[in-house]
Amino acid sequence: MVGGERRLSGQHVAVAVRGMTDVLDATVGSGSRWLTPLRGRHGPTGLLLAAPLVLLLLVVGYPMWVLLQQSVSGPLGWNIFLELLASDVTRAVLLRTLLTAALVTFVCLVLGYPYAYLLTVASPLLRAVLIVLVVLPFWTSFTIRTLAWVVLLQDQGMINNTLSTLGLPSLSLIRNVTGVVIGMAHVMLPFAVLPLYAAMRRIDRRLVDAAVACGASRRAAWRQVYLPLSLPGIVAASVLVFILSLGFFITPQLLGSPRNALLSQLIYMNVTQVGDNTTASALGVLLVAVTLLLLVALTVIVRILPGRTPKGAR
Amino acid sequence: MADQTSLKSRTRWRTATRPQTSHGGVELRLTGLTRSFGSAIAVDNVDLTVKPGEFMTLLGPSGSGKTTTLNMIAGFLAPDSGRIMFDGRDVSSLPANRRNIGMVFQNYALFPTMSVRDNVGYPLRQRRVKASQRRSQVDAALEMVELGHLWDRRPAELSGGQQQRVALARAIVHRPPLLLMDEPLGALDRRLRDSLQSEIAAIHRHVGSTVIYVTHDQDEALCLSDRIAVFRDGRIEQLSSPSDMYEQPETSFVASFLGDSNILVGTFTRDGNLRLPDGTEVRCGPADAGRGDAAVAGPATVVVRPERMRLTELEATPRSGTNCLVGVVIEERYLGATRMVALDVGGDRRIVVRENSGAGQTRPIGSRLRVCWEPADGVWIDRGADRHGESS
Amino acid sequence: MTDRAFLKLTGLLIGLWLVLPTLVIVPVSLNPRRSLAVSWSDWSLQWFQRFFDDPRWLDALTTSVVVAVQASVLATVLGTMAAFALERVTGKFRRVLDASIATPIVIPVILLGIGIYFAFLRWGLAGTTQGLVLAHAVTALPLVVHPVSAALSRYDRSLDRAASSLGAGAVARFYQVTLPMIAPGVLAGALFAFIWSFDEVVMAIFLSSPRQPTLPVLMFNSVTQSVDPTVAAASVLVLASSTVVVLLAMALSRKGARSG
Repeated sequence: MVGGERRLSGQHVAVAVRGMTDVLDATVGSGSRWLTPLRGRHGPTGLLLAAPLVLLLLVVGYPMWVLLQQSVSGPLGWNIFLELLASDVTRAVLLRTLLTAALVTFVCLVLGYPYAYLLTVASPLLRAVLIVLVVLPFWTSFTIRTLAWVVLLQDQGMINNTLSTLGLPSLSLIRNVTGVVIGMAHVMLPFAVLPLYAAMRRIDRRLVDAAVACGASRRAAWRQVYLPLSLPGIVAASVLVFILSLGFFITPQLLGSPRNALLSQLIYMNVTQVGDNTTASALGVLLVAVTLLLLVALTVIVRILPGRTPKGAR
Repeated sequence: MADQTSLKSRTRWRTATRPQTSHGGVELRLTGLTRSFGSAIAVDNVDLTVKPGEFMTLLGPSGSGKTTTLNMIAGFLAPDSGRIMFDGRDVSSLPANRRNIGMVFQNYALFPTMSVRDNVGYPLRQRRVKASQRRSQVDAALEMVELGHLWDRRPAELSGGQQQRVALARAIVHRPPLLLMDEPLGALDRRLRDSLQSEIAAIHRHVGSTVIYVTHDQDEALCLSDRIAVFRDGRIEQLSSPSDMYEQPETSFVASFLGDSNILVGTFTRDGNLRLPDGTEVRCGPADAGRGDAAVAGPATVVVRPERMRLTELEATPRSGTNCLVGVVIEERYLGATRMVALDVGGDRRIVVRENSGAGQTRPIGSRLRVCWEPADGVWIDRGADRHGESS
Repeated sequence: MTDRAFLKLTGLLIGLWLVLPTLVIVPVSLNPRRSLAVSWSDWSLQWFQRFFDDPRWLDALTTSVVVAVQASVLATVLGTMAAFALERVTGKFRRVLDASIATPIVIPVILLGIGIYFAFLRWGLAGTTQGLVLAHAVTALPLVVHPVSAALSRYDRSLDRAASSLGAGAVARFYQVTLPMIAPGVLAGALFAFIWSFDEVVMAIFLSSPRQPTLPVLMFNSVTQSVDPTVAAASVLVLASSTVVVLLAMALSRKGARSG
């Protein structure tokens, strides 16, 4: 069962959902998997499920369909996607979005991995403190957290004022990629830490001892045994952070600039300023397509990677 | 539980003549080894010398300090004080990976991301053994545990017994002079344990490493070991060969931990007998065993194993010189090859007798019987003084 | 040992980095000048006063609370129903259901925003409170299903059988036996859904009526369009209340975990 949970599901969304579930787990308490054991009971199951599922279909499923439908409803038809991809602006924005998301993912992994590792080895008290430190910001309004970064990073902000007091040159930290990455990494870090922690918690620490007993140095044991075992957590965290970063809007809008717009900002501008709903929808579909493509690629890479989790392990 | 385990015949798998192997083992010496966790002392001033190639079992209940001792020998825990020496060389400050040991863990601790062959080859990889040579050594080790055909499997695809065999192969593939085993059979069912016990014995014969084997299972200890160290509260309560441990327990703790025993408490009389509270005197053991200051009268205890006692009808006259008590059968348990009969011999004292069930008649509850044993089968412990704690 | 100390230090620094920057909002809200800056020399409460005097901010607060309460109630009812149903489904189908209920949280929120906006335009729900409530409630479903499922998985089903052997019908069993036992999980889910709706801004930008923006939308507009420290005062109020609610919800769901 544990092995089964570690296994990467072929469904790409499932990886992200699993990561998200881990985030919720940390908030709600451990051991609360959705996949609870079988309970052979009968009842108005279908009836109970009908209302939530129908609403999901109407409020989440149908809108996604509308996006697709609307994007090809213009005079260009399906060619709109080719048109978009041929445009320098769109390509630049798409590339910037992917790079920003990748950078944010990287920063979150670098900071999140040691943090999650510390969670697994810390004393219960320290662990409780660290969990609260990571869960509280997760539930704090993104807008407010981004606003705080505006205050800190702006040209006359706290950081630059401190620098100038110290006689150091001021830095350009806002209205550029630097500011966006700082702010987004800050917002996304909990989404990296909690799936990593969930995966690491399942690793038997005696395995590292076993490797050391076999003659491996602590460092080699960690690299050869622990790291491969934490790989599913790394994948879940990366996928989750990457997906969320691709579509993130508030933080880039407040910390970035229109000149450095990300895809989400381009979509927003098309709806609110240009009023071009067709292009906005098409950009949205493009975002989903790129996300899915990358996830499929990632799934394939992880599958052929050596040191993957056991096939068919249950 | 003790009754259940005693069902099994206590086979000693070692052959009388052990072939001397070329590899050999290391001499392990522990002096004054101490380790505490917080205010609890887990290992308390333990001295122990293990001869090269010896199979030494650390036996004791959980929390007795045996696993802590093993972890210090392995190098996973630093002792608070005391020294660990391999062949006279102090390794106390050496990290585990530099001690050149092999270790089998309780839950196998196989690397889930590696195949069986990579698992077994791991110690060789750390020792930079060339790939071709590594391959043949791994295959040889896998042959030894009869798993040569499963080399490409992942640990999760193996049964518990197979996983344990892989763990064993991984621990010996590099021919370590010291092999440590931490309750290696603890997670297996009884049948598998039996077959793996003989396998462990065979491997020990073949490899010739010094073995430190931690268990709480008395049967394992008795059938595998050259010597057994019984741990209690962080100290070694008794250190002796399996047969001595069983035949000549030095404390009532050892007597009751290894096998079933009848513990008779009374006072030591001047003529070397044990006087029970009801006045009966029983003669016991070689009175001149030289155990401490025996001449003083005082509280004393004698242990008699249930299988050394015989039940007879009241009318049969006992052979002179044997000890006899009369009691009422209060319980009879049929165990297949043997039968345990419990008697009330008065004064709230219970005597348990084990007899072959082939003997025919049953022992109905309520019947009065005579229970007899030879004086030589009674073993003095705690004579004249409380000897607890003196043994280590 | 030093490795461990270094790790602890790094962890604590990262933890502080997660929490501390947000708190810079507090001194900004006490800043006497009309700028989003920190003033250490003097302070004033004028931006808080402004918040409570200005009908725009108060109306936004009211709208947000109204939307969040409705969305939370709807999400809690739907989510609890779903959690009960999910308990009885197993195997592949169960996994598909789990994933579908969780999809709202992995779809980029900007897509949810415009997608739902376009869909609601067709249904005439765009710019209405009901539309926003519906969007928030459905996207908050996983936040309710999760703690309720957790509570249910710890709930001993034999209590149900015991109750029915004592003559309780299905409805009575639910209200008298099951619900009190899983109440902490349900309440935690309700609080999470409330916070989700109360804080959510992207969907609200598209779906709320321009004349009745929610508090986060007003805050967003305020930051992008002007330099008004009232937004800092509003942030402090939201921050304080949502922290209390989250800690409450965490404590509740853990209490549920312990008693169940």
